[in-house]
Amino acid sequence: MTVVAQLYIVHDFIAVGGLVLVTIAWCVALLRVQNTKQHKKTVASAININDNASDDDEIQSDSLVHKCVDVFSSEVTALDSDLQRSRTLIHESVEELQDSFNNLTSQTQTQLSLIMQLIEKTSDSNTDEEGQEEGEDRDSTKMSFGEFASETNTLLDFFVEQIIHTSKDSMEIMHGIDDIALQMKSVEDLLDDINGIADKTNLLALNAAIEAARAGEAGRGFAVVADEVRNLSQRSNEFSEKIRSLMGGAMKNILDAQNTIEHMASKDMMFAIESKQKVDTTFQEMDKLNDFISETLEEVSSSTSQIETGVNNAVRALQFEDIVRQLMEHVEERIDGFAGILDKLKIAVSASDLDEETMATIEALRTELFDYAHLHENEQKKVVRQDSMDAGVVELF
Amino acid sequence: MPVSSNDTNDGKQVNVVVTGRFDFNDHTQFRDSYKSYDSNAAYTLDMTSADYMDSSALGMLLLLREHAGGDSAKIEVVGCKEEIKKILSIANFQKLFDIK
Repeated sequence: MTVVAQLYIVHDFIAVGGLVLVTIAWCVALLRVQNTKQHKKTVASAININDNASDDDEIQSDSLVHKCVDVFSSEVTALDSDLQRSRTLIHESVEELQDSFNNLTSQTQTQLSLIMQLIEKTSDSNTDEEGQEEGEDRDSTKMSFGEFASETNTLLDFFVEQIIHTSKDSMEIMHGIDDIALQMKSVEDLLDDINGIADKTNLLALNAAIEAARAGEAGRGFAVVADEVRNLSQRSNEFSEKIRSLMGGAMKNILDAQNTIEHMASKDMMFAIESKQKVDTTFQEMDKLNDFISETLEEVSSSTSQIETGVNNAVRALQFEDIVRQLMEHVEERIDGFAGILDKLKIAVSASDLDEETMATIEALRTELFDYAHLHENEQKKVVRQDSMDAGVVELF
Repeated sequence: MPVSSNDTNDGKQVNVVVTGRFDFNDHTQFRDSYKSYDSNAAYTLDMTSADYMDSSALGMLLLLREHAGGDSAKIEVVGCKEEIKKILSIANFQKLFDIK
């Protein structure tokens, strides 16, 4: 350290020390003048010394001075210690508060992100976006609820169409069968005609046979022909009967086919109507759900944002701790300086002659000083002893 | 079940009336009601007294439409009750027929 700097330090010490010295010098001079027993007693009791013979003056004054300095010293130490404790308590508390607040913010962020994830998994719009971004990577077997409902509708439409087309084709077959039935009727009518012709042929042949018999020998050849014609007409009738019965069989088969076709073609459509209604209702519910999710998400977002703002405000408010800590450190420094001076004074104390006026003033100051020492001694016992924020209980008033 | 028809305007406007259940058993009558007309005529299907249709009835309507000219067919369906309307709607028939 340079000489100049040293001089400055000494200058400071002298300034403060001067004040303290004056105080102590007054104490010393006052004691020299004191003669009354009462005073001595007050002094003795106040400063806890032996109230023996007055030729202890020198000893008394020395010890008084020392006692003054000691009182100062211990007060200063107490001040310093209280200050340090306060500073530590505040610092620790504020740190804990800050940690707590930061944790709060990060928890709400986590909550928000969890909710977003939940919505992503179940919402329709997000799935569409994913699909567009990932292109070929999109798994075609997965779909959102909305797509599922839509797919069901499409499937339903498809099945309904299939049923109707099958019915249409079936009815067309029915029409064909109706036409066949008509044609078969026509064939039957023709068979009737054939029967008619055969019968007439039979009659003619009969007539021919009769004429042949009338002609006698000349008509014998003709009689044979007539017989053959009769046979032929009979066979013709037999054939037409066979045809008729075959036709009957075919007709029966056709009627059976018609029954089968009826089963195929007659489907009730109510199943489709009910399904479609259910799908429509599901669609509506999904819309409502999506709206609700959107609204709720907005509220949660806004809430999270408000919490963040609140926390930021709180953290900012806690910055007072910085300033307070610095102030306290300054005070502690000053007190340390003070203590340093007192230490020096302990060594370099000496009495000097003082006049009566000064003595009186010193007397007043002395009384004040000892009262002060007493007062703070008592208070010290009441103060809540805490070394950190964890221990101890706060005393309620 | 019975199906009947009549025509006006010299066969240019055909009115087909269906009553009761319109189903498979009507196939002959229904066809008979329009068989003698062709794609030049305009058809009106009166469903006022009809209370039910199944898939075969829907198939028959499609056949009528084919008979009346397919895409250029002029077919009106009138007097549908609620049930009938639902069935026609589920089949998407509003695209194929003029349903009133």
